[in-house]
Amino acid sequence: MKILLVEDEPELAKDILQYFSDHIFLIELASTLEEALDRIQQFEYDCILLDIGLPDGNGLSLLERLKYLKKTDGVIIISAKDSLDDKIKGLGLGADDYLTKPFHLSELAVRITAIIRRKKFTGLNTLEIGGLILNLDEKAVYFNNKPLLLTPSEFRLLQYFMSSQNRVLSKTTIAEYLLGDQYDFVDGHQLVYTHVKNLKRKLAEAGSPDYIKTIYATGYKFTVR
Amino acid sequence: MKLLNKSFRPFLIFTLFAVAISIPLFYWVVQAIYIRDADESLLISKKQIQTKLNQLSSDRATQDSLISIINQLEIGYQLTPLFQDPPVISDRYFTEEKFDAVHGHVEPFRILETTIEVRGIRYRLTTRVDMEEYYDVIPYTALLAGGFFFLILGGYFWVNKTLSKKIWTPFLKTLDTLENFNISSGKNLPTMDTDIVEFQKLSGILQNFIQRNAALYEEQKKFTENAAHELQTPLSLILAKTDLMLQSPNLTKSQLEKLDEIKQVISRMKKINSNLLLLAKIENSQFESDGPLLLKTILRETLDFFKDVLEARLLTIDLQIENEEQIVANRFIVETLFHNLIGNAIRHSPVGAVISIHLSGDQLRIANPGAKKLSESGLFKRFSTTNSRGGQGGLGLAIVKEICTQNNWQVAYAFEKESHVFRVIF
Repeated sequence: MKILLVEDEPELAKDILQYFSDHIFLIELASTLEEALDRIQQFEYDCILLDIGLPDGNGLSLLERLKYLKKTDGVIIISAKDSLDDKIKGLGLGADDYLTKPFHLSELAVRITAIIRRKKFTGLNTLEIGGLILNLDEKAVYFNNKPLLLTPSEFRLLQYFMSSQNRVLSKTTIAEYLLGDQYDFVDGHQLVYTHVKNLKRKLAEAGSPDYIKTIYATGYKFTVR
Repeated sequence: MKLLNKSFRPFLIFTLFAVAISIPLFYWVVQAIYIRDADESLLISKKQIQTKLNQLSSDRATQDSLISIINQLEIGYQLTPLFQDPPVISDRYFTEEKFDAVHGHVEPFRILETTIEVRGIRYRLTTRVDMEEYYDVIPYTALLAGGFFFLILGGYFWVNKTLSKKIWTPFLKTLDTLENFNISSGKNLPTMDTDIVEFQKLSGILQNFIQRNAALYEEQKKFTENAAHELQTPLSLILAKTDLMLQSPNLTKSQLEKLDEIKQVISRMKKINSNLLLLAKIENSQFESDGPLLLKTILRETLDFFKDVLEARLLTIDLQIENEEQIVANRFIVETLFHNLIGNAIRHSPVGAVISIHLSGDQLRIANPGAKKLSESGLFKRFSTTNSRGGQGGLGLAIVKEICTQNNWQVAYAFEKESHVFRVIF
């Protein structure tokens, strides 16, 4: 799966590339708008990570070009601006998602995965790992074709894990992902612990191997290896 | 007291005082002058009659008949021969009210009583002047003088009033503008329309002040916004690098814990940063109205957002809505206002507490149980100690305050019956 990262901040680009290096993705980097426009003309990407504040222009013009070229590459805008206007404009121009800096790389992973699924398999929007099938449209989970009854939070948690397999995810990151803006109000760690415990129990009841490994009680890792 | 009254009142008091003194004073002075004049003319009459009688009395018989005629004529002279040698009386002047046959009523007379000598015979001379005409004039003159005083007073008042109005109108207009002046509006004070040098100077100084303040304010706002913006990238980098570090093999437990703690700190910084940006945007009035919004709908949506948290903390909401009112505002701004206030109430409520939310008329009241009154000074200020422990990085209430200021709403805190109460009046 090919991803184009349009990011002018070299350090951040480097970190993103490194984070996804052993992933199933192949990430290419464009650090200017010109370079990015050049690349989308030549290649097809499954997902484009687009920083809109670029030195040689507004990244939104890339969206216009994609539209003009009638390309359907998935686009996630990553912006330092938490601006509602930009968000509306970007999504209106065909972007699929909008992520405000700073963000957790695992958060980026879950969004990339969701978009690639949506773009790639039209009509079959699923994540499949180790016998687990996560249907993003139906919000349903199956293990060996046997349905699991998960709460919405548990579903989102599993999606998060499956999008970042083999990655260590800290409790804080997971809590922020699950709670969003409600993060400030509850003991996130406790909540994550409860949700993970319930999810693990339900997976075990369905006969699934224990894919979710606890790392020193501060983090988790989803791995089928 | 208004400026105009302030300047007029002492003048009025002074003028009344002057008039009160001047009328009797005027009366007495004029009277004294008349009496002096009358006395002078009486003395001259005395001298004339003495000289003339001495000239005309060629013998004793003529002398007696002349004196008799003078006495009978009753033209103000009475001569009485003095046969013995009484002590010489000096000139005696006095005023007496007497019946005047000519005028037919009692009149004041100025009288001189003296002694004259005609050819060796001494006479007591009583001569008089009618003061009636003089005395008649005095009160009229005094009245006239008083009348003019009042005319001057009235004139001054009228001139003062009309002139002051003209003079002070531009000043008062500027004062009114200044009262409702918003430094963040980007506008300057209009120049005072006046030809008075002092006011022109004041106008210039005010404009200068406002310009400088507006520039400073603008700079400060830009600084906050830029600083918060510039921090986004380094924060992203720290976050990305902690994510990367988390993936390194063979991390020890304490390293993993430290990394998670770093992530928590970054979360806090993220929150502060985004709140600072939000505050700067509200200050910049970057949120346009979305048209009429139903307050109760937004309130219900906000409570819906907190459903999980309320459940997790076993909190109950006592919700009373008696409001169908719509307000014209930006939806996101109203949501933020509700979110911050309700969020605070949730955060500071003990587990199992009841939060009361009451929306009625144009007022929203949010109350949550609390142990003791919060210090009010600085409660709504940025990063004040009172609210820095909240999850909003000490900016939640500052944002609430700024939203209310920008929309001309009022927000107040009170501690009532063991509860923290926040009220917003739309």
